Amino acid sequence: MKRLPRRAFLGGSATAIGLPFLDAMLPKGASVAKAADTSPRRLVFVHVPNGMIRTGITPKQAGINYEMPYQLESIADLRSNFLILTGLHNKPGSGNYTYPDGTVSNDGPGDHARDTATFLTATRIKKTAGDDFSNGISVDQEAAGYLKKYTPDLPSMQLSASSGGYGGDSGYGPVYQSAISWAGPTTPLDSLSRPSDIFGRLFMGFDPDETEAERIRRQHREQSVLDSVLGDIHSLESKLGPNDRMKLDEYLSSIRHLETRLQASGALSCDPGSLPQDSGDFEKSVDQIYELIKLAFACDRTRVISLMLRKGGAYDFLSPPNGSPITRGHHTISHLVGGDPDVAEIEVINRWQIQSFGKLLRAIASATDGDGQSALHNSLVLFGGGLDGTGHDANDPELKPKQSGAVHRHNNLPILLGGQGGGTVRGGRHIDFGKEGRPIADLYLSMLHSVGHMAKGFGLEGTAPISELAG
Amino acid sequence: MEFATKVFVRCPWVLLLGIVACSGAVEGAAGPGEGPIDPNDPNYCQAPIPGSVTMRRLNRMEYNNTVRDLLGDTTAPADSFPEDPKSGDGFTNNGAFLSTGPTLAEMYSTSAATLVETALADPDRRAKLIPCEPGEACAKSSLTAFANRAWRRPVEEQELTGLHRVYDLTIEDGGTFDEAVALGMRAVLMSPHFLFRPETTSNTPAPLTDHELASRLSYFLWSSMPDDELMALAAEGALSDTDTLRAQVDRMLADPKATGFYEGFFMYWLHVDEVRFSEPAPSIFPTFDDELRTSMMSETANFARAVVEDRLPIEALLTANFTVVDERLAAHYGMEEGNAGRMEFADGTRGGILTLSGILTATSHPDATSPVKRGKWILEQLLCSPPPDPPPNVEAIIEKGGSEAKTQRERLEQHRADPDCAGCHSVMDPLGFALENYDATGAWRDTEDGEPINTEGELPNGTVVTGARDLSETLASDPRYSACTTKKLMAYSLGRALTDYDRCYVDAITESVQEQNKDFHGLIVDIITSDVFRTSGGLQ
Repeated sequence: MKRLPRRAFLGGSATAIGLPFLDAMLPKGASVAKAADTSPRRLVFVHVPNGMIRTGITPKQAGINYEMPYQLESIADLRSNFLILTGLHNKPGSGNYTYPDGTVSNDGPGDHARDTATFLTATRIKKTAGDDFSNGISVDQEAAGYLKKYTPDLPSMQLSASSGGYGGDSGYGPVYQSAISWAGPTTPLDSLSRPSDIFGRLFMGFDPDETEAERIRRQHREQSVLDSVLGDIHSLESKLGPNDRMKLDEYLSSIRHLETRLQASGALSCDPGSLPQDSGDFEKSVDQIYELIKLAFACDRTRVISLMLRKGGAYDFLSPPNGSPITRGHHTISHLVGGDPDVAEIEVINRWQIQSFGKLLRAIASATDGDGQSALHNSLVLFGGGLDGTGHDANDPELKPKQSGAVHRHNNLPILLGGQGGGTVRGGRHIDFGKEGRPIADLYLSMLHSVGHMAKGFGLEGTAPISELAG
Repeated sequence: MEFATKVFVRCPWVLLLGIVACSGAVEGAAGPGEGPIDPNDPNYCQAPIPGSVTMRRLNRMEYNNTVRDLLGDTTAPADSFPEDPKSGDGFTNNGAFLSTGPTLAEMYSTSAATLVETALADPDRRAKLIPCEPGEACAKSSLTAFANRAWRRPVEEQELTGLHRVYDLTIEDGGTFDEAVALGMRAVLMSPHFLFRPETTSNTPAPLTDHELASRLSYFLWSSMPDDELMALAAEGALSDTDTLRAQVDRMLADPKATGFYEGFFMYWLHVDEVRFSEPAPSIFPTFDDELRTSMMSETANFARAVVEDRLPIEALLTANFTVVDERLAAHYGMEEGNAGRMEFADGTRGGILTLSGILTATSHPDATSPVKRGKWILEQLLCSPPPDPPPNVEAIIEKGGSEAKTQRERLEQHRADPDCAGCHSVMDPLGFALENYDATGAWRDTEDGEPINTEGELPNGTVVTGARDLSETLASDPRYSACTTKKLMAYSLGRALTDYDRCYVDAITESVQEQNKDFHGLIVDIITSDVFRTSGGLQ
């Protein structure tokens, strides 16, 4: 029986070959499976820029008996699997902000930079286009630090539906819209958008063609390569100033990460399926990304994933009812300056986004964990954005979308929370935090607690988890 | 003694999650034994501080070019690495923004393995890398030579022990000569000495070593590693000589590898790289595709090359009456089939950077031109005079001309009518109006929705410009243009943003360029012979 080629698993420049699954995928004599953790808790964070029109996604009633709003029709059947959260805010993302200690910071325009950069960090970013940019650690990285004990060779993954095509914003440099995941104040994380690259990252180093003896030999040899590199890092370190040492330290951590991956590169406990073909088609790529997220969880390759669900150009595969395909950029339309036609275009985009969220939930739900529950039961999937963004007047009781001045608010964020977090979250409800609202950082605390990381605070304003989530 | 800079302070950052001790931004820098140095002090230029550059890793273009020159590999492996983050200037070679996280490290590892495997599988390339008979001595001499070239400097004895151990261990456990050497080469390519360009720095400014200078030069003008001639000059210590540097600039710009300069500097300075992500609406621009995208990027690089190689003054970048096209772009411009190469336009409808299709496309919406974006681009990228931030509720008022407005221009008239908007828009909009003959993909048009295009605009100082040619001439005579070009080129050559501490160097070079009407060769020589390029230190 023909063994499958090694190159296919190393990712990177691998050619797009379809790999049929065979029992032969598992290495001869290798023991299957890792830690028998039957209820793995995972977190997924999905960000959409430019906000969402609230009318269609905000039920008129709170609680369990809410009427499904029209924009959420595509996920109505998943009702018990998600919460609609109204009234969360991310004040550190505002133009004018007062710190908890009373310090005032009025930074003016730049809400899109702040939307993306602070969505998962919930802290104040420094307004600059210079080299002195600064943010904070993002909640997914905070979670990864705790959860990596289960998946040490791949603590987290950062994904993006499209790469590049972002810029600066009103005095904030492009770096702030480049990432939602930050390992620290000056370390935005790279994200992957090509399905073949994501597959390669998940399964790099797993070679079904390899015997135990071959694996040990390969690990010895590659470790000697890493040892040589580590020696170079240590000798270089002593010659550098503090700024340069920080850069080198980052590489050092990455080499340590490669060591961990190298030692773990033994058996796979699952069927990775075929190497995905990159089509360059946006919709298809997003579908493939969701399948890969499911695969990542089914194989327990990682338990923390973030995704920037953005499109660089126009959503030209969508048309509003009785309209033509959308030709303007998402941001341009999102301010609803043109009135009803713009509303129609944004609503069709938002419908697509919601449908996409539904696809992600279904994909994760299709995997089953050791405890017999769906993987979705044991996960939490945050979906939404850091801008209200609809241009509606907050004082308008009907929340009708209309063009207005205050379009860049960081209050009343559009947020859905999917999954049950292993039983810590009870879905199927609309929770309205009212006019006062809650910091989204409190939601992040809840999410951290749901995986066992009992953090006391997060960001500038996260002080207490949200008890209502448990129902 | 540790200094804090006005512009950036790096927080001592322990790599345990959440623990950050940040001292925040501090004004000024302290000189040795003195109070803080104020760069705006009139006497500052008597002893300006060059500062240091945060250590940069190779970016994608540099990685591709370096493995091409080091190993003969033309597969461009870094094309599948994540996008390099951009600095505020738009460059991807700024160390403050470049990082080496786990995703990239995995790709480096995979790439190194593939690069070495394919290089050794090719007999010609293998012979260059291993020019001796298999054996321990050959392995070690080959690895030493490879490291010397890959690390861009003579390798010290103790640095070789790690590499040699890789070879020895592999041989010991039964590996072949080739397997063992391959692993050693992978270690060379994974080393920080290869992936980064470290420069020793100190609290007081000091000259860079010749090898550090050679790397700065080659990555500046080639986006690649130094060649044998540069390395030889560095070994002799000859790069400290101004005449040698001048001669090297000429040689390097005449070398085909200078493509790395045109693609690295001009494309990113002018934001043409963004055309990779432009998506003109297919319903309006059905013929726009990846081939056209590539042609647009080539136009920018080749036009810049022509201006530089022909030794035209810097202003010619704006005022030239030609561009350089391939067949696809020629067709896009409505020219007859079979046209390609340098094309002159006596009627002034094309020529100079303002009419490059890449720029015109990157500064448009998917379905329409944007005079505001184009005006803003000119102010930011060509004059280094960015407009102030828009007022908070700006999107409430933009582009709302009502149904009578047929053209973009009419839609934008409200800017100048509203006093809140007029301040900035009276500067931005006329610049963009002058380019309205070029649609959202840079093609020429005489009408918009049936209305004849009006390209007349009045600048704040009363000058009236009509059309691209007029605007190009006006900008070329604005002293801010050559000053801005100097700044952008200096920032790119250094791999960091400029600060007030650089004003002396910028002013001196700008003056020299303007007084002597210099070309790009002259400007480049001025930069690389300046202390800001040749020395480093202070402002840690």
